[in-house]
Amino acid sequence: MDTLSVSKASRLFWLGRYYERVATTLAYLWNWYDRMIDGAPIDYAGFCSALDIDCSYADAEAFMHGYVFDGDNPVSLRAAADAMLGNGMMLRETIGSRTLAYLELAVSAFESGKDSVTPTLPLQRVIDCIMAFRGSYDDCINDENVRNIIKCGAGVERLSLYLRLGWRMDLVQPEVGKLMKRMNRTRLVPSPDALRLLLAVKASIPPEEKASVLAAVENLFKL
Amino acid sequence: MGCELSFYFDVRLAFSAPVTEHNFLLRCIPADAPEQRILSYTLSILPRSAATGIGEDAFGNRYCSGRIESAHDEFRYTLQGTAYRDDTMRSKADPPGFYRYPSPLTRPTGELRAFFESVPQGGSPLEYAAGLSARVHEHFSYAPGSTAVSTTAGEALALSKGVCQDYAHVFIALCRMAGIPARYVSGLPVGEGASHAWAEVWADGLWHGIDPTRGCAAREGYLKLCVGRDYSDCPLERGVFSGSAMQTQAVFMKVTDQ
Amino acid sequence: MQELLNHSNEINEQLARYGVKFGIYKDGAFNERLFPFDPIPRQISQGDFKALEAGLVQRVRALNAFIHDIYHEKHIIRDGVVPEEFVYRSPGYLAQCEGATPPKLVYSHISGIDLVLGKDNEWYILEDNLRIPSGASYPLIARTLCRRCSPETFQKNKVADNRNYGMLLKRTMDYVNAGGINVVFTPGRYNAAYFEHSYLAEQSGAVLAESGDLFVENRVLYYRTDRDPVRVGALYRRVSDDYIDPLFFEPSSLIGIPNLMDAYMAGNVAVINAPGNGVADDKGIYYFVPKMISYYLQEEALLKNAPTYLPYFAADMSYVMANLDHLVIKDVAEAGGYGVIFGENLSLAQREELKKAIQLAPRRFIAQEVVDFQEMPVSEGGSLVERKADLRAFVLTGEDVTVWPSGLTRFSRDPDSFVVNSSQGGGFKDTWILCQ
Repeated sequence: MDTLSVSKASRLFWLGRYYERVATTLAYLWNWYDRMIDGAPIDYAGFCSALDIDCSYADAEAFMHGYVFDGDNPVSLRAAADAMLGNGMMLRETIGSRTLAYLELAVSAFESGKDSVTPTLPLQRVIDCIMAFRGSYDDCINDENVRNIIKCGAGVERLSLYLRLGWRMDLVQPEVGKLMKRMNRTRLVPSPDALRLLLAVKASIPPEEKASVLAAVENLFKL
Repeated sequence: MGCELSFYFDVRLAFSAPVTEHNFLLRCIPADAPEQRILSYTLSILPRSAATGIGEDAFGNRYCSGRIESAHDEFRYTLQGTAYRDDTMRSKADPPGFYRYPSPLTRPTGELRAFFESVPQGGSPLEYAAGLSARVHEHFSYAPGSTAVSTTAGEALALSKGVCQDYAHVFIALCRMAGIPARYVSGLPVGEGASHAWAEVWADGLWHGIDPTRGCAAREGYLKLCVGRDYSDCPLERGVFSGSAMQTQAVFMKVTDQ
Repeated sequence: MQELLNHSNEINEQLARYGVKFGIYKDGAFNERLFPFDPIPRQISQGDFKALEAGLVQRVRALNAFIHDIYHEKHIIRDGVVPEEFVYRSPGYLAQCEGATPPKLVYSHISGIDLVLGKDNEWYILEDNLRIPSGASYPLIARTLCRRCSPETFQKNKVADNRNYGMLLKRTMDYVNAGGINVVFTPGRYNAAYFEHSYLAEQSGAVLAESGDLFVENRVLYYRTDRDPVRVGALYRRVSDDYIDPLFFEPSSLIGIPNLMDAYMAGNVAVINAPGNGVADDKGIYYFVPKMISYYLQEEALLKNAPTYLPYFAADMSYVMANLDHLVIKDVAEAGGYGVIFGENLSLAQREELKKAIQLAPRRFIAQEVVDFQEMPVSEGGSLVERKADLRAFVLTGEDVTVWPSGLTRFSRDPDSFVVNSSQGGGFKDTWILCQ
């Protein structure tokens, strides 16, 4: 069937956002694990403030555990991974059990890292599983609309993280370009104001425009 | 003696905030039966919706189902028409078996049983039922606001007060304990004001209307809109919608005997 | 079987990979757990299966005829075979379904018949599940995964393929479909059997939907999409009767579809299984199933009920009073009842109390002989132990009545327990129908 329910479209989009949140944030935090070996400081308070999340962690160690692994913490990456799987489970007959299995494996890997003294090893498996998931859905889902709604979610999340963290700002414009191409392969209807603003994004974004670009990214789709 | 009734029934539901995706079910289309011939009727619904259907439920009621998708803050339905009521035209038939057994709002309780045993048995089933109705009428006091639509016969008896629905439920529960098939009727008696509820009991192959609230028989002056085992089978209106809004209801009805 | 046992770890890894779970509510929180799987299958020979199949087909045909009769002419009551009290006082009987006729006259599309194998090598019916029998998805996916983990086992043993369940389900849905797509309607992610809902949707090629995705307009059920609404012709609903439609049943239901019953009564959608089926899988009605078989089909029942007594009948009452100490007593009243009581576990005083309760409300109780059923080997921590197990056979009714060549074998993990329910910590096994 080449139609999609509104609730399914929303789940596909958020599935994309959540897996990208896990993957991109882990990429951002990756060298923090390395720095912590030498006792170098990490600016977790700045990170929390950039993401506009609560920062009640006693120290860097507590942050790396509570923000990354604590599923009871609703803003944690683990909670994002659970939400990724939850959306995936509700899409089983759309994305297929074989593809969904990679999300199950990613969450199991996350779970196994909870008390690990070598957290980056299970986290590496989390990333591997998400990469396998990306390949699998791209390969197995024939409906272009379905495939690209997931990708739109991922694109929006990636842009949102780049802009909030002020990270890889040089990639914002090319990522917007990719997002537009994906959007045009879906039946999603973007907000005209947000679209206009994003189409006008330049290669280098002046600091005073960052907030309005971020708002446009977040408001592009109402899902 | 038959009579021609002309009826008007108007219900307005006002929502404190706009609601959408409003699905409704109206059981207010009077049955066209030998003893109650519907000469003409119209049912108009506002806001207008093309998405309505007419069906018949398990209790023989005709209903109107429908859906209003767009936002609205008032829902109104108006029924009007004329009917010819003549109880001598009733046709004999066996009652469905479920009218002999307890239903969700008429389950026997200890108190109901004790109350039932306080009424002397005797006479024909119809006389016995009339005695039960008289007992309910005398025991209860009419007190709007003391009960809700979900109040059971047992709960109403414990309070000894209620509205027509509660009188009918207690009466029906007693009849069924006595082995007399009984059913709940919603409708419009001659007069003005709000809709009413009474009961019918089955004896000698026929349904007989009894109004325990007023303590009298319910005959030609009563226009029947719908029937069921109890209120939960046949509310005149039921709806679900999306949106959070408070609901207030204004009802007006008028039935005249020509 | 040794090969399968050797591959237990791999099999469990595979089950986790595919999220073969069921949900449990405990202390108000929802948790999902893996459904414990024991790799040693229940094996049924081809000859035994043929006999079982004939008995199950016969039973389901009679039950379908009974449900139709009860909601229409009620011949079986008039002819005095089933006392009307057992129908009208059954919590599963829904007066709202009187006169409703489902497409193609199929009521119990998917029947889950629970059986046990007695020490006398005879199958006994424990109960019929004609509302929303769940569990087929577990042996279905377990078979796929076991074949992957231990191919040699399946080279050596010729086992009837059970992976056609999705196709059988689709065939059933297609047969009764009143025009439109097939939908699996789930109460949502936090339902105990959510895995099953999503897996069966995938396997049968149906769309998985929740209440917000579906609506009724002009007496037709639609699936809401990003284009025009799509008409639904068959709804495999995994929502119970009470909650299926807030306008016709429980008004507070948030998981139902308003006016679904209207579309159903108009004949515009097949509801799988039909609302009101509970009248036929009631504990009290169970007693009458063999009588239904002779009444509707003029055949002798091929499968046995566990020997059952109804205190409602005077002869049975005296037997029950005299033999309470070795009988199982089941309270037919659903809520706030006594549940299931083993007479031998009662003190003298409790026994007398129960006797009084039975005499006061004979219709509320049934009594059964305790069936001494065979135990099955279950691997536990590397060694084999014997546990109680039952079998849920799945019977699909469409153009014909088909028994799925497999089934859900559930076992109790507690050595003293007869309860094989997954929510009580039980586990499951695959069920093999051998080709010879």
